[in-house]
Amino acid sequence: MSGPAADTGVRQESDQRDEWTEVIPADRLAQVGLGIVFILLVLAVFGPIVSPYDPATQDLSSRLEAPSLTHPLGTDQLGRDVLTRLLHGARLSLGIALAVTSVRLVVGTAVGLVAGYAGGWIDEALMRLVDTLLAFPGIVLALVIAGILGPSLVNVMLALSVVGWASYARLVRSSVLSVREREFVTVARLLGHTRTHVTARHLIPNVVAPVVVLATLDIGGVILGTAGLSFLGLGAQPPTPEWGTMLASGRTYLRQAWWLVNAPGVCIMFTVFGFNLLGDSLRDTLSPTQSAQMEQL
Amino acid sequence: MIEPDRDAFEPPSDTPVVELRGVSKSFSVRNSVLERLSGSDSSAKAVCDVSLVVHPCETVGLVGESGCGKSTLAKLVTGQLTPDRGQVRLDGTRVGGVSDRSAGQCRRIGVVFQHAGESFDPRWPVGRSLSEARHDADMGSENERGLGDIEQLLCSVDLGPEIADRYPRELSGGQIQRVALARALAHNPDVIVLDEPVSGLDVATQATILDLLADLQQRFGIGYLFISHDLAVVQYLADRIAVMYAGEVVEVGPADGLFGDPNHPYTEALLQAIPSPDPGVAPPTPLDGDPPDPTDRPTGCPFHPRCPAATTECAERHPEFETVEGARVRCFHAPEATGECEEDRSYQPNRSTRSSRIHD
Amino acid sequence: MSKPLLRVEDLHTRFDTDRGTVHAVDGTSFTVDRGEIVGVLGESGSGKSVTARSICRLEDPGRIAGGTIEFEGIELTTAEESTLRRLRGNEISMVFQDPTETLNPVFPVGEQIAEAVRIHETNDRQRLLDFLGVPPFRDRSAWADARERAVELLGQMDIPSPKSRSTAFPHEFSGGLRQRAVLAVALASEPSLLIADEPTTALDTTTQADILRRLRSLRDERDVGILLITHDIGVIAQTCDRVIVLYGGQVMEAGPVERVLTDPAHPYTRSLLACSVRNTDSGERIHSAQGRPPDPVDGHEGCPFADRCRHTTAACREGPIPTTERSSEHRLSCLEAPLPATRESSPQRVSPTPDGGTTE
Repeated sequence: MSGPAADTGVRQESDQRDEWTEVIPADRLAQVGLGIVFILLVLAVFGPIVSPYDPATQDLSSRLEAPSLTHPLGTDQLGRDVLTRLLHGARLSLGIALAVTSVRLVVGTAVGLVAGYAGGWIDEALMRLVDTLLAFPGIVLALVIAGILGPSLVNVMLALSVVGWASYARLVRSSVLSVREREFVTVARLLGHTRTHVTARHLIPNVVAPVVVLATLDIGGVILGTAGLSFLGLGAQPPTPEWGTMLASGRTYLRQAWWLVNAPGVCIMFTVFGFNLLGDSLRDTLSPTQSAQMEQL
Repeated sequence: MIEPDRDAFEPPSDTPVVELRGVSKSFSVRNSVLERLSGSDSSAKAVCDVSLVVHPCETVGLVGESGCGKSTLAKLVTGQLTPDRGQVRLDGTRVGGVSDRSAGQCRRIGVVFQHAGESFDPRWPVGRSLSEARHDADMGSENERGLGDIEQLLCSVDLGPEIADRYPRELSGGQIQRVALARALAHNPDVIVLDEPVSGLDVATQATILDLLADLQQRFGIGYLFISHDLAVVQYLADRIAVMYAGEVVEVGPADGLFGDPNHPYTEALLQAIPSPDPGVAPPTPLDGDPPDPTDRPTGCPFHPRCPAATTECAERHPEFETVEGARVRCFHAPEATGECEEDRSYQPNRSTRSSRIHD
Repeated sequence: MSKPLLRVEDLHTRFDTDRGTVHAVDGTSFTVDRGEIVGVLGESGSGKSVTARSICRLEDPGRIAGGTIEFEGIELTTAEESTLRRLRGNEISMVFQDPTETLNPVFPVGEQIAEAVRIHETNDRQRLLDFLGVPPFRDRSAWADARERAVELLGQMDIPSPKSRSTAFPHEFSGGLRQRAVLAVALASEPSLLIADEPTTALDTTTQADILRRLRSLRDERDVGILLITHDIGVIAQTCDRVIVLYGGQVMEAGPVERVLTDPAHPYTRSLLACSVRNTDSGERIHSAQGRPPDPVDGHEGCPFADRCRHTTAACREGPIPTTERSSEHRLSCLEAPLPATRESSPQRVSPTPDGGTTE
């Protein structure tokens, strides 16, 4: 008797416990995504510290130099080292993306929770607001807001935050609606727990997974949005080394200095790519079918 | 809490833990949230004028086909729903829905659902769910009262302490049902509502759970409201049985009497439907027809369209309860109620004790 | 002796998982003939459903590692996908436990039956555009005929007012009606073999009696061979001609129902019968088997039931257990047979650990 019991004990120990750490490396694409994001974060944090040049120091004697050993990615029209500026830009771009996504996530989750749990006219009112926001193409609306507020990086962040939270609210609300009908929430309420307790302990943790996935996928979009608005001159102003701004100012020299456009362009591309891969794999990992499959065997 | 320190060993007192007095509940088509809660699919009279009591240390079985309103009745008891008419009383005090009840009142009633796996938060190890149930909502910290309690709880349902660290999906059907039972015990309830607690399980697991339920009742003196569509299962555990049909209780009585000698034709039909494990016994004859549409209930006795003994009287008037040998039956053809039962088949044999109450 | 309709010989179905190879079906052999109902009895995890799926060659993600499945002389384990498709459309039908899941919620019931009829008719070449209903490609008259046939089938299943019901959607049907509709879909192709996987487990007892009666009449009137999978001994006793008791993917005992259920020879069959609620009187303890089903990873040395059996000897754990013939048609795999004739009186309950919650 103790034989099979002990055996199942071992088996269940080895079952996946922690979805976050154990499953991601199993998938090759996820590994790539995670790797890209990790490298970006390291570069953003440590890059500026180790970079050999100052991002704003101009050296007019070495303008538009092609990539070489002294300047691995060449210099721009004012003789600034492109690599240095990219590294500083990484910190800026990632910082903005994370900040904007966090604001979206927090606001959207809050609105979604309130709408889903309160129901009635509150739900109705909030959801119509969300519908209105979703009816505009996001980037155009952000363009309008940033245009009204005036060109600055903070205004771009503001504009992007205002535009993006609606989809989070949608997602959270629908998750709340389905989770709160589930039996474990009923049981918690039957135990006499307060609404706050039920929300904090049961609802939020159970709607968090899809929100995290959405946020990861969203980071790429925010980076693109920031770069786009900066490219149009609404975001970071020169000489701030933002990727979109660099792209915009390098555009003029496309024929003489290809690296000016390609370097930030490739950076943006890889960042978005990395976050999207990560988001996809997170979605696969956290989706309920995964655990269902595990259960069958 | 595991120590049976309360009124466990005292004989069942006269005050019922839970009392339903003439409760009715219907759902309207427009109110979609309630509809989803009840699982019913249209505007319907789910429960009509039901009175039922559960005493401590007693098992009341509630049987009926799906859609007969037994789950709605359970929800009225637990407070997930509030009755349109009638009262739900807890220890003699009238109570409302779950949001109107105090935490203390909520904790007098435990629940175990059919799909126990669904009733645990998938993100928590079951031990955490148990301690959530163990401690009052306002006590906050779930760890301070120590893990000993949880071990004891698990032990009382014959599970080892290592189960506490498992997640719901890692447990087998029988195990999770035990944990659900442990959770219902955790807050010292006086009565546990068991909604089809063994329906999804294998015979072998079913047996162990039923044994466990019997043990726990003896140890802690808890009353059970045991809901099932399977008469055989209810028979094993119940002291009294209420048979529901189309939202009404059609017969209530002591388990032995009701099974030995059903008074209502519907009870008899349910009994006959149980397939016997003895291949020598002829296969059961199914009851023809379907339960009535709750939005369009038949006049008179709700069972009359399917009843083999139905007369015109059944279609016209609604029978009232009458007492027959300790059971209360709602049928014009209950043997003692009328003199015309002789030509009725099967359920009339030599019952001579006439009840004092004859329907008017 | 003529050839049986279905002959399964030494079937092995395996699943490759991270934990190792799961031997879900581990050397099962049996036959099903026309006009008989063969019951497969076992707990969850005994391999009954995998056996059924293997016969239809729907064992994916598992694989058939050995053995033969012969259906009307066709070897299914090596058959082409097109042959299998033809057989599934015409000769073998399957009915599953949950009728809600089996029917497509967005099509009317009649349409789904008509589709099955059409698939049966146009077996060699099915035209996608015809089935999608694209106007010029749709064979209108054939579909009208199929719909009429669908109404007819619904009528044969005793579904009231089949004409109007055939345009209704599955959610408008009650559970029993839905399962009858599923049966109608399964019968649309006039199969010679029907595999019913727990067809009544999700249903009420009264509805169950009805479905079982239908299965019996299929056997008697249409000469269909039925493989009925269930864990309910009562269902087996009332419906089947022969029964196969599965445990750990192996056949423990097989034989005529009267023989196996009234005079079980295998200790596992005995323990199953002993723990049936229906064999137990109220107040009496149910004799539950101890221990839990074996872990199917990497198969078994010796008898899979050895860990829970009270007659286990050293020989039981070594090597394969030979199948012995107790009387004609009554086979069993047990070294210790014949066992003492009667059930042991009062099996002592030493710390019941039925589903793995070891307390000792």
